[in-house]
Amino acid sequence: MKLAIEDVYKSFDPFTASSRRFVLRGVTLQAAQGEFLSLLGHSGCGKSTLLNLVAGYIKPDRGRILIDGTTVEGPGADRGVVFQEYALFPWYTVHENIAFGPQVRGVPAGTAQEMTQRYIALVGLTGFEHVYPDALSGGMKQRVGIARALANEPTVLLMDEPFGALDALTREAMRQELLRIWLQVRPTVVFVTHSIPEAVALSDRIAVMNLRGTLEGIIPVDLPRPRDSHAAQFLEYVKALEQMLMVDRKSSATREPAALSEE
Amino acid sequence: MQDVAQLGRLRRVRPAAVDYTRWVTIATFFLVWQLIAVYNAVHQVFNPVFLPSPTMVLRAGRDLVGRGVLYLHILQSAWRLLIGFSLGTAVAVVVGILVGRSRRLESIAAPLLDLVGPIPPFALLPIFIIWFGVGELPKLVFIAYATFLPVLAYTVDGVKSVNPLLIRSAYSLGASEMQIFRRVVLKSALPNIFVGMRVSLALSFSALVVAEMIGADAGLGYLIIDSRNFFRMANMFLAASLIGVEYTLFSLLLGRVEARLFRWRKGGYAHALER
Ligand SMILES: Nc1ncnc2c1ncn2[C@@H]1O[C@H](COP(=O)(O)OP(=O)(O)OP(=O)(O)O)[C@@H](O)[C@H]1O
Ligand SMILES: [Mg+2]
Repeated sequence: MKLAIEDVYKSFDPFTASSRRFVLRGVTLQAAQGEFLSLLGHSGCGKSTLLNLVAGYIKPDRGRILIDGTTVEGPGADRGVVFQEYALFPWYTVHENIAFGPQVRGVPAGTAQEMTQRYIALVGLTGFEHVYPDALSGGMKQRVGIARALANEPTVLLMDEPFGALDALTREAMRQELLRIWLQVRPTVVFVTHSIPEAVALSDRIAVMNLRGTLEGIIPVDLPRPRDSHAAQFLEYVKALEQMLMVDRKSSATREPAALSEE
Repeated sequence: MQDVAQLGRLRRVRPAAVDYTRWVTIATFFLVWQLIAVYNAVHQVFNPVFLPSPTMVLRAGRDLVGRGVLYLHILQSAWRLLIGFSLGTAVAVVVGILVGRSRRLESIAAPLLDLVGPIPPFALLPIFIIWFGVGELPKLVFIAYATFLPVLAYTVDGVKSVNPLLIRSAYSLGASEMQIFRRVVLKSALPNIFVGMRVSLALSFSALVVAEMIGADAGLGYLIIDSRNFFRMANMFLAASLIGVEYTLFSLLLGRVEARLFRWRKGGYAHALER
């Protein structure tokens, strides 16, 4: 397995608290080499928390996360991250942002230059190399974000609602773009979204999370690409997922807070 | 063809018109000064010695140049300021980054700053002189000290307000601690550091003048005190003006460096609306 999440628990309450609210309670999930895996769930269900654990920004209370069999101890270049807020370096141009990874990892200047140029072309930003992020549209900024993560040739690409800040039209275009890039480069992708059609359009498998901090289920999407979002089969997936999430909404309205006393 | 016709009606970005008002104001200022001084010289409204005319100031300047001492004073002051200011800024930036990064260091530094911060640097000059002797050292240390505190405060603030998302993304791109420091923390704090330097520049100049007034044998501050002892009003006006000129030049230089460094930085009120 490229990525293995094993029985992970995470709470943001202090260890000393008598009762702690667990955002994640025993999540187990794997992603195969080159797989496109989506995390789908309501706001606040812990999608970002799970992604941040994989990225190594925060640490699990229990359980572990493995990349190629090695436990994650902190952030690293093997896991590229694309943020909803883009998080581009405003003092660097498009080119400098994308070259950041290869440069800090000590790739020889010539090779770094060549890689940067290649990924700029891949995301369709040729001609904008020397522009600062400030002067780019939202969609263009996220292209830079994706190119910057990819230029490091990570084994896993983590994307936290990368298109969340974009309008519907741009979002659709960026989806196509991402799919094209993914088919070309074939990284393992973990993609966080709360858009059901987006998850169905992109994913090999969709992990549905619920508000109790566990996985509601994992849905393999068995549709050939490119996928027609109006096709009957596509809509069936959407309906099934809607139902899964709806159940969660209802049960969460009446459920006890997901508290777990310290054993 | 319609396109071209329409283009003619497009709003054009107008080049900024040359603003003559500025020069008219400045010229008027000197003219009025000259007139008052000349009028007073004739009618003796008050003792004419108190207010030399601009031409008298210029003449005083020519005399000093003739005696070969004016350049010496100008260069001496510029050099002192440059050394003292650079020293103070460099130390403040290094300390500020250390303090801004570590909560422990900050909790140690904060009460110390609260303790010495409220004391105007000028109150400490005699102590500096006793500690470091009467040579060049106490003056430089004093100017550096006056520069230090504001730059420190702004640097700490800048380091603390670095967007944590940028640090996260740098880590995920494989950057080391040192690379994150240079390429993210410092880059992000730099605009703040420059604000601190601007604030400090005025203080440094005050410190320079005061230091030169107390026990120096050259420099524009010394020229003021020396001229006072001989009641040469024109020389005093001249020295004060030259200090102003030096400040303006340093400030322009700082602005140039900023414009170069912060090409990426747009924003603020001026960029909110196109006019
Ligand atoms: N740093 C933190 N400190 C305390 N609580 C946190 C922290 N980060 C997340 N949480 C809590 O964990 C829960 C899950 O948050 P998370 O950001 O993972 O949700 P999400 O699924 O990504 O939601 P969204 O779709 O709105 O982004 C929320 O209840 C949130 O309040
Ligand atoms: Mg989130």
